[in-house]
Amino acid sequence: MAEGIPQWIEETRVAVDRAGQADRAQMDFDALTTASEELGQVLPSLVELHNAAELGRGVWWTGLDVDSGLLADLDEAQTALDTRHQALERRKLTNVARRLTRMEPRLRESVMAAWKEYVASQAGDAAELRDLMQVLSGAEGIADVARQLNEALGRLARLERRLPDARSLEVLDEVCALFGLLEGRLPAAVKTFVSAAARGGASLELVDAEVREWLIDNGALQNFRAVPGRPQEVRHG
Amino acid sequence: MSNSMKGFRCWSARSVRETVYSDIGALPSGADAVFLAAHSPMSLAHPKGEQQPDSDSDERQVLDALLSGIGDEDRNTLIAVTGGSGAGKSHVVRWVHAHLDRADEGYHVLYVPRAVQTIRELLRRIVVGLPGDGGEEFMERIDAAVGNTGPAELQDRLLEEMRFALNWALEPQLPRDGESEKEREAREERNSLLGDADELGKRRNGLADLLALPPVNRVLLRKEGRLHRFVASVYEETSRRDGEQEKFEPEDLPLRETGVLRALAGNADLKGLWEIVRYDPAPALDLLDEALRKAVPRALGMRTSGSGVTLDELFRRSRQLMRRQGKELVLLFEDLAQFGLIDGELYDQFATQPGADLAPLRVVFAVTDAPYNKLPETVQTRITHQFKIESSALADREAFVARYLNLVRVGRKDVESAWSRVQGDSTEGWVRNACNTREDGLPCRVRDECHAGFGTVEVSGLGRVGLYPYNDVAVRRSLNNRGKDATPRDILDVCVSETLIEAEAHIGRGTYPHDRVRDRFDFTIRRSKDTILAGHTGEQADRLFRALVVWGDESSLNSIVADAFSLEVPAGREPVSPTPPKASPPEPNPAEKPVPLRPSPLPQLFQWQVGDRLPDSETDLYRDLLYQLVRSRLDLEYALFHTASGEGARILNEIFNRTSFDFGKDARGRRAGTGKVLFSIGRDDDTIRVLAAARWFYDNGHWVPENGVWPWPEGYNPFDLMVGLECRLDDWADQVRTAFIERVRGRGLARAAVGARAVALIAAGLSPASVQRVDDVMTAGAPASTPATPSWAAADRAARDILLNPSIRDLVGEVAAVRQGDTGAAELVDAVELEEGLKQALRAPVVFLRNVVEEFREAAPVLAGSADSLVTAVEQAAPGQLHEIGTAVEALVLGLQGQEPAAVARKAREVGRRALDSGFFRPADGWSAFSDALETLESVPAGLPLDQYVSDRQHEASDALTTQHWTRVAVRGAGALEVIRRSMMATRLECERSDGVSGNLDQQAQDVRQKLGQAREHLHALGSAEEENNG
Repeated sequence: MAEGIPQWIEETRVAVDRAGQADRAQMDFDALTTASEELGQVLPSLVELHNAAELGRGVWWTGLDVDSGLLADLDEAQTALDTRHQALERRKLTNVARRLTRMEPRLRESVMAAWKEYVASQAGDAAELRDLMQVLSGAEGIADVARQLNEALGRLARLERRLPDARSLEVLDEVCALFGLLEGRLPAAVKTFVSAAARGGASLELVDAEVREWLIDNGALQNFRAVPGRPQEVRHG
Repeated sequence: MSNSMKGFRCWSARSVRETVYSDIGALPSGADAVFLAAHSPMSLAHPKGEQQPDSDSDERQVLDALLSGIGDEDRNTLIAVTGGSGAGKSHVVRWVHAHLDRADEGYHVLYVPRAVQTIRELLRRIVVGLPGDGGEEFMERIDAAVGNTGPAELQDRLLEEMRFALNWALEPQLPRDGESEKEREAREERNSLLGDADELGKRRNGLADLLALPPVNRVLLRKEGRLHRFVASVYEETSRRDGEQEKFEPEDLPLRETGVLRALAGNADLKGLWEIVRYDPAPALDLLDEALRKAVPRALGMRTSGSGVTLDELFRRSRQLMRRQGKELVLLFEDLAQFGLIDGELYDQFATQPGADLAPLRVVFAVTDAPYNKLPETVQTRITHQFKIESSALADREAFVARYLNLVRVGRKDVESAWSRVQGDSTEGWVRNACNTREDGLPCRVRDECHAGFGTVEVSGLGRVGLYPYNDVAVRRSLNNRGKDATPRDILDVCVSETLIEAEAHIGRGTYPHDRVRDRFDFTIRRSKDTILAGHTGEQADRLFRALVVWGDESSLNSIVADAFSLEVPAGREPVSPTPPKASPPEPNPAEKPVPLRPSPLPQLFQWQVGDRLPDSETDLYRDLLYQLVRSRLDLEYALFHTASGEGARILNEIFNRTSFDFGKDARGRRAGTGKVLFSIGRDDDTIRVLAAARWFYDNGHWVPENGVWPWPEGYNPFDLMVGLECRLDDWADQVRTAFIERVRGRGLARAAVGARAVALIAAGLSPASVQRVDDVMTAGAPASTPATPSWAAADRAARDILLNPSIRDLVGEVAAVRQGDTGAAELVDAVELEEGLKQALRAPVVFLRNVVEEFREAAPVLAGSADSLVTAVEQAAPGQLHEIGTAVEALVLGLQGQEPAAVARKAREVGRRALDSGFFRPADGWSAFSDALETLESVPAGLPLDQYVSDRQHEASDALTTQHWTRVAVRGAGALEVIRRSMMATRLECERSDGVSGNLDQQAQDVRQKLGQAREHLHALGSAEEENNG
């Protein structure tokens, strides 16, 4: 018994002190567990984004401004865990993990936007092009190409909604090749018109009598419509 | 030489019995002579009917009215003689009967005197009196109905006939033109009581159904009930006065019995009817009367469903016969109420007018006012004359008595002989004057002395009649004693019959006036008995006193009277002249206007002395004034007893109050009970003098006879009265004083009050050391210290009740203090004796309280009751309290481990706070209780004698009581310590449960560090593309 304190009080005091320490350790463990789980959830997504970006690096992926503060916090957290002798800053750790999780959708959105823009620049509006290909799949001389292009466009449309991988790039290349083959088989005036229309719109000047006749003969007139404005500039790679 | 009247009597008890009939109904029908000899003419008003020319105002006008109708063949004559009970109505009818000419062939007289008592006899009298046949068969049927049936069976049959009447025979009343609201209500109530007719016409849920209930049935048939009385009157003679109207009474229904409601369970309609009857039974009782009236003729066989002769038929046959004979039927009924329940039969005849085959009726009947007013309308409208007795024979009461005095002297035989000689020729003058003819036609031998000594009265038709054994004073006192509203019957019963019969015997023996004379005569006196007797004592004193009062009017006794009654005239009371002239009062001097004196109140006292009851108001007044006079000389203040108000007054009032003066059993109010002072106030001369003196002094405030507000009592000496009163009051005051001091046991009561307060203060938590002085005890209030523990709560409450009771505190000031100053408040307490009482109380409080209870249970019930409550509560609480204290002491010793309570509390608070902050404090919701307990423990003073407390339980109650000032704190502190210890224990257990981590902390840190590195790598890759690209 400590001097001046009844034994039953002293025993309680010791127990309270000891339990206080154990409680803090448990809270550290709980915080680490939570951070580990959160990081475990976001890491696969980061790997995916990383890989997609690698595929487009220098072509359609030009990089992103990552929050330097976040990178510094990640470094600091890592360092703190290296030296366990000091108290864990549970709040900072939790904060870092949470910020990573919140950043992931933004990164994904940026990568997807860059990819979609690239596909459009190469293959135009795939949906509208498929409609035209279905019409032309009966046209003399271009029917087989139009049918293949239609199928390739279908595959590209499905892949376009995911982060790109090697397969996505292959299908895009196939579409581009088939479209070139198709253009080669069209009359010159029609080729100019279809190429322009498929890649962002053709001006009305391109619809001359020959083009109009060809469209009527192949039943494709209804696949085009006049809208106000200027046709979009299309980059060709 | 004059003749001595000693023992003289001119009548006998026999002659009185033969000639004096107060109830005319008891006078044999053949005794007309006796009846007429004493008959005094009466004055009758004639409110209804044509007045006969030259008619007198006496009973003769009734006879004239009757005779004037005779010969009128088309109309009946109905004559009602009305008046109050005992006014002389029957006399009038009897007088008419006596003066009808029996030899007259023009009419037949049927006379029914009051003497006829039973219904059978009444019917027989009518049947026999009516000419014609059929009566025999009728009476045979009546005799069969009554004779072959026992009273109980007839009673039950009556009840069944009543139910039949209620169910079938009585018809609902229809509205009458001009009926009042009250009449309408009564009619509707009656119809409602009959019930509702079912499809067969029988009434349901009405009074008849109630009569069938066993509890109702039983009460209706009970002995002394209406039905029982009626059946008794059928079989036997019963006394009845015409004032008594037989009817159902509330007692004939079980109004207060609960059995009826039980019997009605399940019949809401009938239950509702019963509630109506209970609320106001009068309409139901009236309807029962109505039903009984219907039932009686059927039950008695007077009416049959077959072809038998009925009373109506008998009357008709008679009237038919008499018509044929050219006669008329005269009916004289001395009391119509005799017909009671069969009067309907009679009324039918009254309403039947004469015709070619029916003779007319000439009816004279006597009836009291109330029944007269209730006669059926069919009879009322046919009354030809009503004569109302205005002033009876008592208009001249002395003459009325004198006629009878003469009659009893003459005797029946002589009167009948005289009447037979004159027989109807004369209404006056045929009876001789006994005073003038007693000695074989010569005057009585003592007539002159008798008339001189006793006086005479002039009586019409008789001359001067001697008043003996009365004189003018005695006859006045005798008549006065019967009251202002006395009837002839009252006067004949007492003033004539009883007085003469008793006087005859006692005068003969020389013992008149005997003791009962005081009841027979107005015995009002204005002076005390000893004054009237003027010191005369001896064996004749009482008789002389009665004679002086009744015959001498309290002053002097005529020597002839004294001689006749064998009395010796006392010394100083010289015989006065036989007819003392009344001295006319001196003419007042108009210049002097003396202040009128109030009448003396003492005659009532003197009257009480001679046996009368003292009026309640007088008794109250004497009690009050005696009480005040004694009270004013108690002087208890000199002995430091304050009795003007508060407890002192209450205690004094308990042993001495107005009821302490006992005026005897016949006085109003209770007399003081046991343990109280009681002064018996007797009717002896000394006490009467004391009462008279007290009354005089109370009313006047001095002893000067000339200056009184009422006259000084004759025969009394002021000095004697004063001394007598003073001595008696002193004696009474001594007795009261002694009784009071005994009651409060000297200073004992004050000591008890002080001691009880001291014990109460200790029991309420004050230290015994703080109540060592009387002053401390009286000024200290109920301590507002630590509340009592639950086991002591009742004792604490009882103690505080004592401390808060002002009457207990005031006791000391009222029975042991000098009171002075403007307020009269207690200024100086007799502390010496009280200190001793206080010491006793502190030394053995329980024993002290027990003594208080025993000694002052009666004298100071509040104090004794409070002490009893306290000591009982202490004794009941002590075992529990001591156990509680023992447990508490043990807990404190164990828990404090030698430390001061406040220090332990501080440490516990510190540890508890840390546990609370780290979330380990348990119980989780127990912080508030823990905190309160800490405060309680902190307030426990250091230095409680815990170590000295040992389990010495020899005086359990005293121990529990005298340690209250610290043990209640200790018990409370122990309770708090227990709460604290429990919390500490629970907290420690909680901490021990939380001691450990559920996983590998280092491994988890390594994992997170690795993941953080990967994340950084990917981010870096995503952000550095252009750089690498460029590079």
